[in-house]
Amino acid sequence: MNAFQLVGTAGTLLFALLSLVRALRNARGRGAYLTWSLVWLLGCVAIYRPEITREVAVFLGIQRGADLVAYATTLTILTFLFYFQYRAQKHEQQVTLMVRRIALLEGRLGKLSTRDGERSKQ
Amino acid sequence: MANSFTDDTTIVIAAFTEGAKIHSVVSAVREIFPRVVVVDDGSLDDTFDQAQSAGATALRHSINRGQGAALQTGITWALDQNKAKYVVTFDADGQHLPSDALAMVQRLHENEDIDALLGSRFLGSTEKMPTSRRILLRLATIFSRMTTGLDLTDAHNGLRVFRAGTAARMRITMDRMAHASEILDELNRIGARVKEHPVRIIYTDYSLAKGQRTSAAGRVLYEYILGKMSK
Repeated sequence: MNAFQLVGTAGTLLFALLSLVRALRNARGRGAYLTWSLVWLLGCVAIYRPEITREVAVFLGIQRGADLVAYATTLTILTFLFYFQYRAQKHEQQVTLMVRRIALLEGRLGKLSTRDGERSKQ
Repeated sequence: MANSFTDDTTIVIAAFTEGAKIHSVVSAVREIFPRVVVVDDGSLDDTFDQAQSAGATALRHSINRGQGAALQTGITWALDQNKAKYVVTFDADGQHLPSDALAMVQRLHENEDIDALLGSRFLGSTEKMPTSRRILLRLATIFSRMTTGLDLTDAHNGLRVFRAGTAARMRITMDRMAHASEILDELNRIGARVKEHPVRIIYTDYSLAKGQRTSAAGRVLYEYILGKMSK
């Protein structure tokens, strides 16, 4: 085992354990923590036994383990990007609902505020 | 001219930094329709004051949310506060004619078999319309036909008239320019009986400068797809 494997294995194992502990302690977000724990564990295995990635790659029809890792990383990043974009969109909708509610309430109250210092730039 | 249906109509105008124009637009509209609500979408100028001084009910988004968001706010007001029977969306930049809105409301009033009337510049006329805009609108029409099945000639016209029941069942959730496509989706979803009405669109240097750039079409499409996925 070389230095990278030593540090990488220890680090990923630590993160896997921390995620697992969080999953056990918190009912909320348990699924996410368990998923992260699994991801760190897979990373740990891939660093400790790099030949495994090649075996899995061959099984999947991808020739090289490095290619498997590249594909998996790219897909994961794209998935997260899409997920965060979706969450951002949801938040935007919630902000609009709040802004609308305020506008309608102020309209009903008949507030005639103009430049009130709260107006923010786009 | 006072007709019973004009009193039962609320004109909804979404406005962002239209201080130079909104007073004249509202004044012209109010010569026909007494009930006008202007939603100031976080403007950087005196749009709110100008709209109010022209006699409109002015609402204000404290931060800019987009034309779609502002229209939904105005429609909600029209239905809840004004108890409108007919809701009209009308642009703030002076491109639309109040007389066209009157004709559309009258047609809706006289025809029980129509739930929504959408203005069409291609059935009517345009003045100084850029060629790039014409091409883009044609493409948008094709896209709308594919996604909604609605056979329209002008898919992105801001002059629209809805019956109150139809407006109440619609929900505009796409805040920015994709709302135009979403409105068509909503009309299709609720099974509204939709017709087009010829209108005149007047392009001016002001309205072209204020309006959406042709190059923004890609972003609008992206916003539409993202909005559909997050519904």
